[in-house]
Amino acid sequence: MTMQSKFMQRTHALPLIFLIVASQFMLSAKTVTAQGLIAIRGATIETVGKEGRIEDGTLLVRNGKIEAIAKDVEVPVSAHVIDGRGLTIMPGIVDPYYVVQVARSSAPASETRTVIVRGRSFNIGGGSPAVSTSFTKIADGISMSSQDWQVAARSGITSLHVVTGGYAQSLFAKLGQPSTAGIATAEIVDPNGKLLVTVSNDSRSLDIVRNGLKEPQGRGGGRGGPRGAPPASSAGSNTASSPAAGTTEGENPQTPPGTQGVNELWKQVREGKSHLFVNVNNAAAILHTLAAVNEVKNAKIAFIASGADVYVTLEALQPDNHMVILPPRIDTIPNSANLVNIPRSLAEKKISFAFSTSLAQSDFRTQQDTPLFSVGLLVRSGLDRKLALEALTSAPAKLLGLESKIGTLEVGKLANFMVLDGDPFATTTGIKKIYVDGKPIYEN
Amino acid sequence: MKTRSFDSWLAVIVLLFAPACLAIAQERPRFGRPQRPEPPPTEQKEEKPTKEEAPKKPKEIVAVVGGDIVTVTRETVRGGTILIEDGKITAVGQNVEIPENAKQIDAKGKIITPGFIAIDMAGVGLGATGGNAKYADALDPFDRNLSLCLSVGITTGCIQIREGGGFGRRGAEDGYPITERFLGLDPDATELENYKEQTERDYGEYISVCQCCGLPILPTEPITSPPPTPITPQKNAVIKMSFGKLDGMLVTESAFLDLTPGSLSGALNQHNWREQFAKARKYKEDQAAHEKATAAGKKEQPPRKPVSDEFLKLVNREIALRIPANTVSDIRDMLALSKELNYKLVVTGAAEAWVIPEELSEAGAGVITIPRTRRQARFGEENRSGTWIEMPRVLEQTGVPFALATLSSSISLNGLAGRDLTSLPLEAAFAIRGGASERTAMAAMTIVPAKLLGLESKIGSIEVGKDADLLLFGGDPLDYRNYVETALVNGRVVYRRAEDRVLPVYDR
Repeated sequence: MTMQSKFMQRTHALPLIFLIVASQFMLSAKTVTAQGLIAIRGATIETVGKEGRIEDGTLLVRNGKIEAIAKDVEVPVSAHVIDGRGLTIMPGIVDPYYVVQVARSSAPASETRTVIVRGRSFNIGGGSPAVSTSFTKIADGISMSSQDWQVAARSGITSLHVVTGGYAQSLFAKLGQPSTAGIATAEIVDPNGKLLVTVSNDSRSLDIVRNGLKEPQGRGGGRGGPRGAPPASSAGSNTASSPAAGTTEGENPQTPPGTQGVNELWKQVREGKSHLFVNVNNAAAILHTLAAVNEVKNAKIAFIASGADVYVTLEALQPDNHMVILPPRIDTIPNSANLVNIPRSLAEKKISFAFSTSLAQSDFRTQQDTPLFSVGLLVRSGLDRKLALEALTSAPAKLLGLESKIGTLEVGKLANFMVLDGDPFATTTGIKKIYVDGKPIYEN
Repeated sequence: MKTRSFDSWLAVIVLLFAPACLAIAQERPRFGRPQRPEPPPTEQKEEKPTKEEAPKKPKEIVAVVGGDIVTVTRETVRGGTILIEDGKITAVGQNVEIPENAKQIDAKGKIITPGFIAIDMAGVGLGATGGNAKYADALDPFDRNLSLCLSVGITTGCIQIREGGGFGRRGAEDGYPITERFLGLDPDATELENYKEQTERDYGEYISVCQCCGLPILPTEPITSPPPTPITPQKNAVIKMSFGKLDGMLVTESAFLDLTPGSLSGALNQHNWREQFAKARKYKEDQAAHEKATAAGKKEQPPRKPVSDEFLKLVNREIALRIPANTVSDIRDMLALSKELNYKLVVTGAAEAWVIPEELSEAGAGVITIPRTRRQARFGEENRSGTWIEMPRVLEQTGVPFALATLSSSISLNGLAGRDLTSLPLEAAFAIRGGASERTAMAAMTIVPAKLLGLESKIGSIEVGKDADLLLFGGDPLDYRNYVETALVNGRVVYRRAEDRVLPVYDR
């Protein structure tokens, strides 16, 4: 089977076989889920929860949720029993920063950007693609079916925080049942995600953060502010609650769809109820953002940064509210050939972090079916094993406020897990099968 | 509370300094250096600040011990100690007591100088600064160019900022070929360059320079209408090479009022310039009247500001005008205008300043010079035009303050080395070659540019109260064989030759 399916995915030239295999796969899946009761016995289970690692344990899934997980579980007769001996089960990877390209609400025509070519500067229309100051709600611009989710499915990702560059609101998604042709799909779990800002060392992007963190000063307080700043008055929510007032005032006639909730999102960030996701273009941006957020006590930042940028700013980062999302890999120290294990340094400084396996695109695509290879290298070179597992699953789940549903294998949580053919951090380990909501979505 | 503790500190420093000065006067032998201080006297000194500062963050104390301190503004202190608290120098001398909690930096056998100031810098430590962007937001303390600057001793730079990017380029005085500044011109064509040189040689001071392109305008050509907009100066900021930290990186956002070559030449330009001054002075009067009126309780609209904040600073003599002028007549024009309108003037280039040093000195103008530039003398005026290698000596003897600049104001990692920012100490060596004393050459990279920038109370020398921007050299700082071993900015080590690996790490 393994050989066959690999062959199938590499060629794509045998649609007939492909379809047959796929339909068989679907049928088998349906028979399992019809009963809604699966038990995997004899497996090593990395719960990433209180139970820790369970050797020779049993995982019982009913209707997509974990009913029991322990060394000895009484398995009902009606359950579909799978032999898990020699296999390892761990929670599906929660990717806290899965980047997609989204059609933006068109930038204002007046917006220009300056490009410097060989010392000459030109002004051309349209905002900079790197730092766009217009707000986008990804849920409004994304077509889930047109994205390529195959690579995510093959990398053990079961839950995604779908993000894009610039100033936007993310969405939460999960991998879904593959199509009849066997192509991976994903579906939106919650279109109202977190606040995202791409920050560089320039006023435009920093002003978004600074103005957002400012307490609104009464009605229309933000109208005179710099472009790109979210309106400080709650004009959006006013119109929503009392349409009459909204139409007469007509404060924001061209408010793009999605701006409605921005003020609410910033409020949550100010009150520390939700992290602000700041993708930093360089190390300087980390310092600038820290300076901007310094006075707002409760605000919590999740920095999305490369290992090298984290390395140079380690001194400035403190084990406080903020955390770091970074690609799991061994980094090189800037301007040198020396290698460094940044996650380990973060762990030593007690700064919390989460991995986004999709951030290192080249690793992400080459490590299909063995998505934990680079994390394994980090563990081998001194990163605490438990922290590494958490950084892939429970830490991002907690960051996204989804820890009650996903991130660990515990009773009552969703049965999103992957079955591996060995220890997660052994370099030879690969994916056997991935389950989302107790249903298999990918098999290797 | 802060000032009070500062006062008490000053008292301590004065007490400390007195014996140190005496020691210098007596020319103590080198072996007479103070030993490690015994704890008892230290306690007495330490008690006050710790009690007062206890609830706050403890002071960061650094002691640079045992080096020969080139203070620039005072005598050199042999085998002395520099005490630094929270980035400021609090004591300099041979008998400085080192507090127990001080972090010590061993400087035995090293020569310590103040950090150098690059008065003309571009493309270092700043990202994009277009539109209404603030420089403070564009700072990049992780720029590799900071390390490259520090490797030759530059700790502070006056950075030119052009709209649209931090990589500003200089005008006609720059080493960039003219063709590079024009779209569609063959970059290999040297005719334009030759034409410029030729006309300058032949017509000398009878030509003026085009404000836009830097090409000479011959007197025979018809006079075109002047640009309708008032003369708009370029922006400048002063930044420190505080690698890895934003705090204290931006020193000031307006260092000079900067004009491109030729912007004040010609009657119309000068007329506009005078008009701007008249407007600014009128505004100042109106503003004063307005303040008086509001103080008296009247309600009225404040007067509209007709000029930029930077221009007002120039009018108030807070900052200087910096403008390139090379020929005698250009320099004289600039001197006359500055005297007439009463503003501070800094002439850059100033190739022929050696012809009229007394006039410069009398007008109180500063000079920014590049000792290695050459300019051909005009035909028949060989003894009073073009460059002269002895200009640094002439300026020194006439008392004209001059600062050194490099041929290219940025860091160059391409092409021939030795003309970009990293050759600043080399320019000092060439100033000495031209007859300036070593002391003057050192001052031309430290206290003089600090004065021209109006920052002499903060930087430019090793004195109590100034920022601790220090360089530790293995030998004579003006010898090309010696490197900066360690550089401190605001009392923090920001560069180490052995670690940053910008310059060779071997020992001779």
